[in-house]
Amino acid sequence: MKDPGTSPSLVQALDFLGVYRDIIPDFRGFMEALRGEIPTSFRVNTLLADPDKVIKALESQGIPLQATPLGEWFWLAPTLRSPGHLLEHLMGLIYTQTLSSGLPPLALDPAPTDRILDLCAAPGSKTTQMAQMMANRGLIVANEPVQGRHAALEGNLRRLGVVNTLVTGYHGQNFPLRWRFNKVLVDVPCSGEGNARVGPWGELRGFRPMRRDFSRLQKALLVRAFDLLEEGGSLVYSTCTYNPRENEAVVDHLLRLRPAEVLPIPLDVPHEAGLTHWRGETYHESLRLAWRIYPHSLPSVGFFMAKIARR
Amino acid sequence: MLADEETNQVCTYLRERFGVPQEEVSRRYCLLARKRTVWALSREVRDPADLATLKIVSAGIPFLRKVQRWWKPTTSCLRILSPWIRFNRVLLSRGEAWRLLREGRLSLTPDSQVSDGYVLVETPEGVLGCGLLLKGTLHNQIPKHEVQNTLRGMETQHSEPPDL
Repeated sequence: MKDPGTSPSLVQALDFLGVYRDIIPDFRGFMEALRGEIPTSFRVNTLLADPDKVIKALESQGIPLQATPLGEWFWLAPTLRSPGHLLEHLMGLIYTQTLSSGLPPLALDPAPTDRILDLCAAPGSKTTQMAQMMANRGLIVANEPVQGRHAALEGNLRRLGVVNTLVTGYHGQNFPLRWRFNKVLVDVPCSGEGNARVGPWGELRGFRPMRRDFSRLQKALLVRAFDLLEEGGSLVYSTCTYNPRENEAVVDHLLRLRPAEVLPIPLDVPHEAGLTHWRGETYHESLRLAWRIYPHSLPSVGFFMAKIARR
Repeated sequence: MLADEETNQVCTYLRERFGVPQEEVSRRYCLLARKRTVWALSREVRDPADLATLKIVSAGIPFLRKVQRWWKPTTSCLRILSPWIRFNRVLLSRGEAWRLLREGRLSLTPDSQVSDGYVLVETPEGVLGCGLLLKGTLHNQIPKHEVQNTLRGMETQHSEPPDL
């Protein structure tokens, strides 16, 4: 067995994530939290399930469950490897979802009377969660530009019994401006650094570093999402990456272009404030209201989100 | 949109086969036709008309399919209608449900409440989906790929996390 202290792969993981040493509080605790797998979590689908009955059924199968700060729908199942092989999953009673991924819909706070656009919807975690929060009422337009991902999105809508959703296939940045929505969720493609884990020898796992610059696409998607909002409407922008250039810098770009305002997120979940500067760049003061999620404060993937209103 | 006559046919089928009150279907769902499939979209979708010019890939969920002259309910249809389905329900234990999924069929003891044809298959925890009962044998009608995904690797669902 290699000595973790001298393995070059350990240096690789630290090298990669070390650029965030100055912005991630308790960086050592952060790196420690990345060891092992992302803890399994799921959401109970109340469109089809009685949560008490489902939890009892899972516990009676010997599956240890832990409550989460996201409320009674979200549960951690730390020893469960493949929830997709449970009968409850096939029946649409549960949906495997990371806790971080459950946050943007909670921040957007969909209501049964809303008309919502989910601009980058596949595979449908957040779409189906919003449908659940809306009790299958109102309207969701679930947009996904990649045709090959429609089957997964539609399969999840079917399995979970979602009937208030239309699926469209536009490139998000070109979504027709003829329609307006009172809420928009824009969970953009990103470098995915939040999925990075540290392997037994300190090597980087679950994530392949990419040279691609996502920020141009992210800015175009966020500006279009904003332009699709009714006056007084709100949107949530989210990524699963730590990179401020894909997070605060993108929101800052919108704030400079449009009459947008960052709103506080009234949820009680451990998080850190958004950044107002990084590596010589300065971002709008209100970005402190954005949320950074780190795996050592919430057992999930790294995440960023900002709630934005159209003034 | 489905023509009124076909909407009536769908509602009549669901009432006669499963006891679903006609008004529950027409009040809750807007039925749409595409090829031989009827899709159900919530009636509460606000202003669907002004969205009609969007290029829509799909609307709601597949509800019923026309198989030759007959209607076949989808698994999702029976799941969302289950609170109103009064008869032709088959209750299985978890063990029986797994056997049905693995083997594709299951012999049942005769039940006067259930007649040959499409049935809702359920366990005490919830609705499994659609089955076809023929001469005492229940045939699985849940989409094959969903069943295969569930069966693949089910033996390892309780494995312990690796010791790092």
